[in-house]
Amino acid sequence: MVSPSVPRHAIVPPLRLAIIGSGPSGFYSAARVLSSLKARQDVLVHMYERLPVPNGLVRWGVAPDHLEVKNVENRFAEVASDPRFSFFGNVNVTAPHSPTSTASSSSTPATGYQYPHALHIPLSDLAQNYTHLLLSYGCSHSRMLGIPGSAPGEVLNVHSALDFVNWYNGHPAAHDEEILAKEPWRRVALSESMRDMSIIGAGNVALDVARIVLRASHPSTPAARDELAHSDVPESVLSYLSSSRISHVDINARRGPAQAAFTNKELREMLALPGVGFEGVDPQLIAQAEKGVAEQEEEQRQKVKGEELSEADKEEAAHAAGQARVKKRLLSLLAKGSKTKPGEADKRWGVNFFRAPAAFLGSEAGTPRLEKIQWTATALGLSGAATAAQATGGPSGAVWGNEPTSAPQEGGSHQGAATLPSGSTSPTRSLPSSTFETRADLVVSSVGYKGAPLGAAMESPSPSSTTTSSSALTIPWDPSRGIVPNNAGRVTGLNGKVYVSGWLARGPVGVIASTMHDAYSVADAILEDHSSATSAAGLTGSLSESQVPETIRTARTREGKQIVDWTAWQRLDVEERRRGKEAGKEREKVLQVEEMLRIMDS
Amino acid sequence: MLHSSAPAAHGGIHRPDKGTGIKVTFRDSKGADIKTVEANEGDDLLSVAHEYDVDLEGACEGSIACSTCHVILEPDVYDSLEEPGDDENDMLDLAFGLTDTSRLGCQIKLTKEMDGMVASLPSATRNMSFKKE
Ligand SMILES: Cc1cc2nc3c(=O)[nH]c(=O)nc-3n(C[C@H](O)[C@H](O)[C@H](O)COP(=O)(O)OP(=O)(O)OC[C@H]3O[C@@H](n4cnc5c(N)ncnc54)[C@H](O)[C@@H]3O)c2cc1C
Ligand code: FES
Repeated sequence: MVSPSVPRHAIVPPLRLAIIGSGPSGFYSAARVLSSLKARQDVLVHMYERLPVPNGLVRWGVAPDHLEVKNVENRFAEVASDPRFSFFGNVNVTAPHSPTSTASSSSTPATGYQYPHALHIPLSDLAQNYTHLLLSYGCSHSRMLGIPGSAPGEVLNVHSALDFVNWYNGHPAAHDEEILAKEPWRRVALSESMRDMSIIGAGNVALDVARIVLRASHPSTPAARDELAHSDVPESVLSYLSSSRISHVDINARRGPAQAAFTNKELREMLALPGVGFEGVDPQLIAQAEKGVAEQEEEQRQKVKGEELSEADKEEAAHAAGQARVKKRLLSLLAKGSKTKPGEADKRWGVNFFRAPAAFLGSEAGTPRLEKIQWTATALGLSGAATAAQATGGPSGAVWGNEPTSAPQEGGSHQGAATLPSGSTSPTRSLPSSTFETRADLVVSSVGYKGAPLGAAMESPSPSSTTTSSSALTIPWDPSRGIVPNNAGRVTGLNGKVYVSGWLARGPVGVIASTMHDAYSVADAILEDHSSATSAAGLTGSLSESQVPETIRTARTREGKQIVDWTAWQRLDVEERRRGKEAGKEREKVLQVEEMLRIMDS
Repeated sequence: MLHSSAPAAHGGIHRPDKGTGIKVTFRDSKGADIKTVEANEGDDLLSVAHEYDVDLEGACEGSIACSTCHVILEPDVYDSLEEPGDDENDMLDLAFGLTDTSRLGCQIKLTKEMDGMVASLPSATRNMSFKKE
């Protein structure tokens, strides 16, 4: 890896970087900047996070039974141990104050968890303390299905994957009693009579949700449950899940087996779950998909061999051929089925292809409770040749975030369609005559995470001291792609000052590895721009003498807000591990921010 | 599957005396040598990289759960190794800049026969251009 050379100590001004968001992309960017400028003491990196705890989706996304993936937290801790790095937890950064501000969310009153314990600070308050700003605050909203019954709270027992995952991963947003009292439909409520769970979408998040439920629900064998029991799943969640009797989970995909967005690793794991049987896929469907994938592979191979393409296109074709091979393995896994045969299993799961939900139907007066799902049968459209490349768009495309196969229908008239990134309309067409219904007790809609602009700045309780012209810091937003528009990480129109990385820059797809590569390249852009700078200017106007923004330094005395540093997080980390150890598990997460702050303050 | 909380600073392996170990050259994605180092039989490539401060990430610390330790081998070394298992293949599916001779660095154990080998870091740029879906 080439690091920009740093010969001109005297000339190159200091680098003061503020990073918003403490997920993988924030940490890997910080790592790259700090390691590339090892010798420089006038470099500092300040990371802001709205929760008192760091690590983003490594803590709130990655499934509890995937502890190995969370080893990356050790790497982040190593980055944080650099004396030039500081963590500012419990700080929610909002859109800049500006008289002309048109912060998009200001018109609708916010619902859900609003980080009441955090210091809310407008971006403009950071403007004079930093030379560079990196936005890496991820995608923490749900994509909507936009069908009848799918709006939040419309039908009980319909949840978004975001909420469900937040719940089993102990995110404070899902365990805040005040919110749950105000919006009771948010609570995951599993009654003893529930048996059938249906998941909309066929990506890895869908399989995570299915696996966690199937591992824990009654009856479960120690073999299935242990890995979860020893993990960092909250005890309250585990015991609640264990008393439920969900015995059947359906995964539902809009398109065919060749377009499924889950990966071989996750599928293999599902098929090996002790005591859980896979219902299998119609062999004809698989054969059809195999044929399509084989044709695709062959076609790409011919391209690689042919004369007419450029090297870059050949590389692309070779890559597509590789993806087709990946799909072949997936199809053969689906064909082979599970270790436990469905006939001998206590619990079962299946994947239904070529169906799109049309409505969630419930009964009862008042807020209806889910009883049935109405479906529309779908088929691949003309443009939807069943190609592997289309299904995934490369290794970073498959995977954890948005799941193209279950996006609302092309040209659908539902309100939610408008909220989708334009590129995601899936090449399927519905077969209008064929609607049908299935029974379901619980629905988790897993059609993707979604980014958003920074929330509107709240009225400042006391005038902040650094309010000069701030409109220069207005961050653009691309609503159709759901990202901060950028060129290789440089935010459009704010060149050389403001950057964006991770899911917020590229959309909510990709694993930690791809997020890391992205973060490295954005950090390199920051380093490159900085190396050609001749004077240290703040983000807007001049750079202030003090390193830490005034609003942050005075938060406690002024507003009674507790801002936590890395040492405070370590205190909580130790306590969570201690509680975990007592219970024979990796970690027992603290679920409420008040308690986190109490432990951190002690 | 419990993991340690202490950040692992180095590869946790021992450097052999100069001139006695198996030589490994790490090369960057542009084809420039980063450094040539020596290690012992049985050491894995990820640990060797860490021991010598070569920038090869190992996010999951060798648990075959992340693919950040992806390296590209020369064809003869690649062919001399046992085929990757299902677990490794599943992670390689997600690796950046995958090639026909790609492996996970954490799964490659050095043998005497590999003396003089080259491990190249993948090019991160090629997949960045991929569309989202
Ligand atoms: C359910 C799920 C499971 C996954 N499992 C895996 C897996 O097993 N393996 C894998 O490799 N990848 C997995 N991924 C993908 C991986 O989590 C992402 O690639 C990665 O986390 C993206 O990193 P990021 O830094 O862009 O965003 P995030 O990780 O989302 O980090 C964003 C951070 O910013 C903070 N933030 C948000 N708004 C503000 C604000 N206004 N002010 C201050 N802070 C703010 C958030 O609290 C968060 O900490 C999973 C993703 C999901 C959703
Ligand atoms: S270190 Fe994660 S797969 Fe090798």
